[in-house]
Amino acid sequence: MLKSIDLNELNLLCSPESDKVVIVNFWASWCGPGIEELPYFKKLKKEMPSIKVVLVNLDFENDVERNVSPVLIKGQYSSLENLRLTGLKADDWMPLADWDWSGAISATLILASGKKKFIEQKFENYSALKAAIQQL
Amino acid sequence: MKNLFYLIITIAFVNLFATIPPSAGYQVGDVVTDFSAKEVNGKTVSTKDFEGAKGFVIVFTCNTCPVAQKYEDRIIQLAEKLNDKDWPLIAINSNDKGISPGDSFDKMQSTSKSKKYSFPYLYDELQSIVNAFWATETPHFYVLDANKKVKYIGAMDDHADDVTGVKTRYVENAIDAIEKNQDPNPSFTRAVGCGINKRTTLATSVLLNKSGI
Repeated sequence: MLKSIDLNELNLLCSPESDKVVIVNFWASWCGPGIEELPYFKKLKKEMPSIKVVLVNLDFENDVERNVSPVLIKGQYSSLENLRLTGLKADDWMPLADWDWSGAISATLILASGKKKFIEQKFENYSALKAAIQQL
Repeated sequence: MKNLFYLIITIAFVNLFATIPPSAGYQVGDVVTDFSAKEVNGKTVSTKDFEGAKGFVIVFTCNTCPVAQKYEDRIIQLAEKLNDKDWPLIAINSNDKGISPGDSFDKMQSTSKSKKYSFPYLYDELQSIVNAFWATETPHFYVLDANKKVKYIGAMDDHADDVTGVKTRYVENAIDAIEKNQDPNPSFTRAVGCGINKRTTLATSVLLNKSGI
């Protein structure tokens, strides 16, 4: 259900390529606001199938089966790419998403037109997500 | 092969600057202006109340964040250890109770009472303290020296999930370093935590801080 990725794969994920639009959302089952915005990403993928939408889960190892899988199954997020990070030090992987990110989640990285935009908070609604992408 | 090359360059670059923290609020080396707020016992507590303190541990925490909850016992134990050393630990809840009702003053009082906090738990209702520090998640630790100069910012240790997995205790190491008149290393770490909901934007906060408000 969740593919574990390492630092190398995360770096590739967070590197902008000129012709691709990639949305990477960092979330955890214990972050309520982060779960509230997950449906927006599912809707985005449905409306714009050519955009790559990735959910990166940050739950603690032991909580994945108990807390993460139910969220993904209930919300039917299998249409999105579901990844998780294992055993990586925050100081090693967080700067790859954004240098100024000190750790607050949920957060979303938007890659478009060869540029990066990092939003260190949840999206209030679906329009806010779309607007953030269009602004790039 | 090309991607591996870029990865190596990126990691090298990141590690070169790994100790430089994001540029908002108090940074390592800044001196913290005295602040005060209402404490759960109803009285106002100020950093000025701790004349002669050897240093301070300031922690932005809350009742509701599961990561903060995982650290609660560790914070309680650290505070008890520091009580004998003249190092006040001050916990601050800056969460907007409108967004997070579990962080109301009443709830803070019951948490402090039931877990027998031996340290001040301040209610940063106006968010003026969190805006000055620009702490971003819970829990977020700042270790200050006797002159209230920030010497360390970041996580308490390297394993939020459970205390038995901890290898490095960043905050305790920072305290030891300061007592020896040395700089903590690392002086800054990142850690996953629940974002603190701030009513002010970063730009406005910088403006307010610069004009001394």
